[in-house]
Amino acid sequence: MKRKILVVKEGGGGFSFETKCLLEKIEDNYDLYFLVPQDREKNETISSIKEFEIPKITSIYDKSYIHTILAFLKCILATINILRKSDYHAVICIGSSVAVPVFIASRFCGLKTVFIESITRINNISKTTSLLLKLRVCDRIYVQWKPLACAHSKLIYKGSVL
Amino acid sequence: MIFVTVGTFNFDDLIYQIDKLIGQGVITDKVICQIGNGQYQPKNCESFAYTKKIGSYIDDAEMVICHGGTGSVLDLIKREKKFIAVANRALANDHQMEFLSELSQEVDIPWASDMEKLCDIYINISSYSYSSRDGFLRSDLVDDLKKVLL
Repeated sequence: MKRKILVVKEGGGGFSFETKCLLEKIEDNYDLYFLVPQDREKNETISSIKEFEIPKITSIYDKSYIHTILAFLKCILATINILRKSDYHAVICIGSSVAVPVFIASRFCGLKTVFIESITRINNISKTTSLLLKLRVCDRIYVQWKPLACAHSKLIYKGSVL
Repeated sequence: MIFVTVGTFNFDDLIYQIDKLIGQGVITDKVICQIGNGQYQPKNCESFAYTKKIGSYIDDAEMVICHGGTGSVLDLIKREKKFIAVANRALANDHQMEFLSELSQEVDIPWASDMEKLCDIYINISSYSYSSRDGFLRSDLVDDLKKVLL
């Protein structure tokens, strides 16, 4: 029986392309489910019973600090609510800052967590990666450029998701 | 057909330059532009804001001229498509410039940091080699990930 893996799936942009590349390579090996960050102002249709909506923590419409904190907490609770309903094995996220609340929730529920730094990050790690390292909520953090692995001893370079 | 794509946002400088090159007779092929939420409407070619069928425009194009967004550039490398990437330097932290500059050290991609260079690269595009793409695409990440997920 295939393991149940949750993957964070953004609606568009570079992260979604990288996620699509990864999914093409792992979809035959795992029973994949998706966490879909939803913008308060720009809801996209949840199109499958394998997709679960979670609050987006950053928005191009809303720069309010308080809203971000609230969204962060809501995201943790929403993720815990999703995770406790089935026997998921791990959560994977590429690039997105939503990884921070999602991985806090995943750790709380005892799941493995894997973050892949976006291929756009060449010389400096993102704030998200920096925070994930500090919080120690990741089993594995991959970077997609070799020089970036020198930024921290926990960063792993094994090529790209392409 | 040459397909021009600017991605999610806008890149009026690129669309203006393409329109100008068509008007000057430098570009003679049919051109279709995806202009995003840009304000400049090209006068010398077809254009539209967004489409969900961008893949079919890319498939139909003999060449693509795109912004330096990772999704567009990496997709074109994977498709082994002939393309020219142009850095949209107005975006946050000039990250497209950094990305294209670093990527070009790994893969031989034709790319321009400004509009003047675009014209030169377009004229000389036939001399570019894409032979280094295989090495860039080689990766052990997924195999390693599968071990982590055991």
